[in-house]
Amino acid sequence: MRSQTFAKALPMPMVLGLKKRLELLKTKPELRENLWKIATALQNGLRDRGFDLRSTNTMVTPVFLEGELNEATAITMDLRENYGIFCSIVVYPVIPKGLMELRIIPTAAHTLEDVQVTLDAFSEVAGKLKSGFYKEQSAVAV
Amino acid sequence: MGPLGQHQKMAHGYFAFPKLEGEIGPHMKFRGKDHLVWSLNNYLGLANHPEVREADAKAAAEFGLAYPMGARMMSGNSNYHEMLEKDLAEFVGKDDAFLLNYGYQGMVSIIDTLVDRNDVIVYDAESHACIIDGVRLHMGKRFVYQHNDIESCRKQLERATRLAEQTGGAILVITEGVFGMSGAQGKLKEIIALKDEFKFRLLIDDAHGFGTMGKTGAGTHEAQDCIDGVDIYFGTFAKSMAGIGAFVA
Ligand SMILES: Cc1ncc(COP(=O)(O)O)c(C=O)c1O
Repeated sequence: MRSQTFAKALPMPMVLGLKKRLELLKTKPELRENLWKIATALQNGLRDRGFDLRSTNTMVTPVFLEGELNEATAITMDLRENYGIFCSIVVYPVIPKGLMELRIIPTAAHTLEDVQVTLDAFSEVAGKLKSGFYKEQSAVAV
Repeated sequence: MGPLGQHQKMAHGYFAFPKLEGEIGPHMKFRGKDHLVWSLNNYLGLANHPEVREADAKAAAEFGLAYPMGARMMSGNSNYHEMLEKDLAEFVGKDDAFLLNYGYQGMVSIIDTLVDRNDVIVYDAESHACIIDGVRLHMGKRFVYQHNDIESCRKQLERATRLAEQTGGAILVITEGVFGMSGAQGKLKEIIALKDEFKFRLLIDDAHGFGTMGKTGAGTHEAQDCIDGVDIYFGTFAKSMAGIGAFVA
């Protein structure tokens, strides 16, 4: 394989660190169980509140909302600045025009309380989006 | 161009290239303020696990960051590299594994290694950029099927089979275990069922599924109970393993 034949090997600390990670991954199933506990609570909560998660059948949790680009940036800023919630935003051309995707990645280190805070925040910002609150805003102020 | 496309410039440092600071976990600082972070693929929380931090520090103290020097084939091999490969292969249910320095470049190179100009690639339309780049290097034909659409995949396999009969080449099908943008699993089991009708090898990119999916965390092929049907398995260390590098098995 050319990328490995003609390139330096992974440094030893990474290799040893990876051995430790693999060992934990194998011997601590509670890490994975926790990931799924959080992912399930998050996705059930979002679906119960009427959010559109499309085709996910894994822990990756995309929340699809309708809105233009300026609304997508405004909602992301609102989540960060006023709710202290940091998630990624995906817009056209990765997804169709007129849609935005707020992508939530649950981890084993999150708690059910983190999920609750996030569900409540999402309900609020989705309500604002529907009411047109973000239409007049843009990200230029950043 | 990132997910914000042409608007990236306007939002530099906020939407693109934001800086998250503090210990890696659900609570980090962004622009000086506490945030509840849902953006990291630190699926198992290993990034800041005390045993991981300790192992990383100990290994760095003992070996430094330079060792080993050179490519594996020339002068850069070690027992630990080989042990890690053996453990990984066993864990994901394959005979052997090979370490890669980066997932992205690794995938490009895997595809380049697996095919020659007579071979035909059939791949999912929503494949990750590294698969697309790998396919770009391919000197032969390629057919793309609609995302996770088995009928479309079958049609492209029919075309690929006709072509491969002419060239005397073989067919490589490429898809993902877990599509990172949508969260949808690749329909591995259904694709594998097509092996009854067509002759091909299946390569899956399980960057997100390794460590998260399946009863033991071995991956999406374990979750879908089709370990043997996946001919070549690829996982990265950049997500659940909270490291860097990748492997192919
Ligand atoms: C599906 C998929 N494949 C490959 C990669 C590349 O892996 P790496 O970050 O190890 O280069 C990523 C993301 O990082 C990914 O999401």
